[in-house]
This record gives sequence, structure tokens and C-alpha cells, in this order.
Amino acid sequence: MGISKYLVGYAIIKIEGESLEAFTNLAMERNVPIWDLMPIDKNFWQGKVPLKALAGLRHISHVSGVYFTVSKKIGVSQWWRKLTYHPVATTVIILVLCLLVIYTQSVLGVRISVDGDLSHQEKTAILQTAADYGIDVGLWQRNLPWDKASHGILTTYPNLAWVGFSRDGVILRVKVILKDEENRNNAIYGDVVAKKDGVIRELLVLQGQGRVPINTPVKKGEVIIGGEILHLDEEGNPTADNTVVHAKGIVFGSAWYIGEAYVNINEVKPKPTGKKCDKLTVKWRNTEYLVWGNNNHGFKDFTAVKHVVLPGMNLEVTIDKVREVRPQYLQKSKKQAMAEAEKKGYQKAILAVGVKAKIVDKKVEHLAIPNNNEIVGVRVTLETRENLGVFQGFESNF
Amino acid sequence: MSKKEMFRAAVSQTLDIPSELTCDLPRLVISGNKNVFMENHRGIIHYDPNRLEIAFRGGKLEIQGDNLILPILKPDALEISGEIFSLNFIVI
Repeated sequence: MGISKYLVGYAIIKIEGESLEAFTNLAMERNVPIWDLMPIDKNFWQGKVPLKALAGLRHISHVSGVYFTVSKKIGVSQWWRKLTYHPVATTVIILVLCLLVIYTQSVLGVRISVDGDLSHQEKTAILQTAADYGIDVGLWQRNLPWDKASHGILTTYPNLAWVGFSRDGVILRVKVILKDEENRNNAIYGDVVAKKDGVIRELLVLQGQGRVPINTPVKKGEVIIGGEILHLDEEGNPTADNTVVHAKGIVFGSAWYIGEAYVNINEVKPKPTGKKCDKLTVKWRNTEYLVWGNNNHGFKDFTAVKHVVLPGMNLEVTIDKVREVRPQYLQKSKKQAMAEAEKKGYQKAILAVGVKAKIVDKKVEHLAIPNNNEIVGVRVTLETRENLGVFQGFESNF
Repeated sequence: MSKKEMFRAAVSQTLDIPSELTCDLPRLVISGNKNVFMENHRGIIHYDPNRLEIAFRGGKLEIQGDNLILPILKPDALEISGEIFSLNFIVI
């Protein structure tokens, strides 16, 4: 509210006369807001009104016979008016603002960051090339020839895999990535082999020779894309010496995961009775001292949980929580047992599924258990679509 | 109470409408002895730092206090702040 009044602008007025109440009531009647009204003296008040209401107040003053004077005008508009009275100060402020805009929008430094090893001379040379293509100190940050410069740097330095630019305030950063990593990988020759049993559904050979047709089952370790390229004629006779490469490709296939679970229809579960016997012991130099609680709980069936505080120290504090339980016999329906077994089987199967694998199908089979009607068995089979290939280097050196 | 006012009060009671709406009664929000917010007033009758008289339909409200100021003054509402000693309703 205060800020809006300041933005719009208001005046501090002093009203003087016999019927000040009448003046105020007339102002209210004509929707002139007055605030911070306070009596200074008898027949002399002070208040605040919006600047645009001053004209209306003159008429009210005339009607009510009360005189008012504007003692001060406050607001953004007044501030601006004051500035116009001081042209030198205004010019200086505008100049400073312009300089600030120019400073923040221009390039005051160019740095280089490299993902890899580059000598100082090489870095300087790359920065020089960037400057030749228009990325230099003192230029306007907008409309810099980013594409032209990155293309020019990549053409000039073939050992660079990627060039990019980023702005860090007034500093421009040239980011480069070397090709070394890629070359190092390519220097290792090998095959793409199956990392698990499955059926190949998609195969895209990027480097090497495809060895397995689509929709063919593969065993774990079987070569899918060969790193050794065989040069054969139509009859299968070698035409040239075999060449070796770093096999690359996209291998997607189906894999199956199985989870089996058995559930007893008559289940026995421990149920807490509510009786408990906790104890706190302190162990000091192989001697155990009972601080609180009882060593002999006297429960027939119980569960015990041990918490060791400060383990491995000379002073070992142990809290034993013993709870008495009694067996609770639960009888489930066959449907309930089946559902539980299916849930457990699914959990077992999904544990083996990789993070990036996509489950495309789920099959549930009921396992028959001869001469036992109490146990229900379920086998859950999950079919996934996932990357089946993994690079494996040749054992021998070519 | 005039017939008109009695009718208004009856309508307000029957239809369960707040009486400050139908009978144009003043509505006051008092915050301790520091602040009074009043709606449905009819103007200021008397104002000095120790006494303030505000008109409303059918009477006036007399506020005794010290350093009384009017931070908000609108046609339908006003706010009084300062050290308030007493509020006195005078029904005419």
C-alpha cells in the first residue's frame, strides 16, 4: 500500500479553519481519500492526499471555507521532476546506467576450458583462432558468430571432438573436448557379445560385421557383432587378409526372467503379546556389566533385537530389546495364497531385471506340487526388451 | 425505533442477514486500546487529539483518548489509532 501511494504520488497538506470536520466530511463524500490525519493545533490539521485529488480539494475548500496548503509533494513523479531541475546530475545518472549496460553486455575476457590434456601453447592457439573468427575481448555479447567460430576451430584443430561457448557474466568461455577418448576406445579391438541369454530383435552394426540374424536366440558370450572382418567371395573363399576393428553397434533383444515362489496355506506367524524385557549392558575390557534390565526374561517364545552403541570401542554399550511372542495360526484361502505367491515370484524376478530394461510381457504359471495340498507354487516369467550387447576385447593382440 | 427500522430489524432477523447490512449499523473492529476500525460511519462531528466524535445512523460514537490520529479516512470506513481510553455510544 505504501509503495503504491509512493509510486502514484501524494501530498502532505495542512488545513486551517473553523469547520475542519465539514471539510473532511465533504472530502470523504467526494471519494477523496485522506490518510494520516492528525490535529496539530486547534483549527489546524495535517493529512495526506493523492496528488490527483488536489484539484478536487480546492473546490471543497471553497465550499467549506477552510484553507489548505500543500507543504510537501512526495512520489516518483516528484523525484523525476527534481531530476529535471538538476540536468548535470541527471546526465551523470543516465551515463552511469548506459555504461553499466555496456559493461554487462560486452565481452571483457575469453577463457578456455578443456576436457583432456592440452598444452598452454595449444590453448593460446585455439583462443587466437576463436579471435580470428570474431570471438574476442571488447565485442558486444549479442550477435557473436558462434556457429562460424566453432566450425572454424573444429576445422583448424582436427583433434577436437567438440567446441562450445558459454557466457559467465562478462567472461566468455570456450569449451573444447578432445578426440583422444574416442580414439583410445577405437584402438581396442574386440567383438560385441551377448551379455545374457535372449533373442535378438534389433541389430544395427556401426563398426564390424554382424554375425547373428534378427529373431535368433543367442547364448551368453556369443559374438553378435564381430570385430574381425572376414573378406570372402561368393563361394566363401577368403579374398584378402582379415582386418580387425573395435566392434560397435546397437543390439536390442528379448530376455526372460523367472521368479518362483511357494506359499503355505496354513501359515504360522509370531504375534507379540505385549510383554517385553529390555536390558542395557556395558562391555569394558571383555567384561560385561548389566546397567539396567534383567538377564532372565523367562519367555518361551520371543524375538530379540540387539543395538550396539559405539561398536569397536573399548567401551561397548548394548541395548537388547526382547519381546514375547506367541504363534498365530493363519489359514489363507487358495486364492489369497496364489496372489501372495505371485507377488513374491514377481519380486524375485524383477530383482534380476536391469534398470534400463523395459518389461513387455508377464506370464504367471501355477506349479503343481504332488501330494501336498497345503503349499501353493507360482512361477512368474517376465519378458523384457533391453540392450543385449556388450563390448569384449580380443584376448590376443593383433 | 421508527417503523422503518423495526421492519428492517425484522427482515434481518427472519432472513438471517447481518444487521449491519440491513440496518446500516456501524461495524467496529477494536484491537486492544490502540486501534479501532469502523465501517458504516456518517462523518466526523468533532476531532481533537483527545476526543473524537463520529456519526453513524441513529447516533454517534465518542472516543476518548490521547494522540488520536486517523490513518485511514474513506467514505465507508475509517481507522482511529492512538491511546484509546473509552468508547461511548450515544444514541439519539
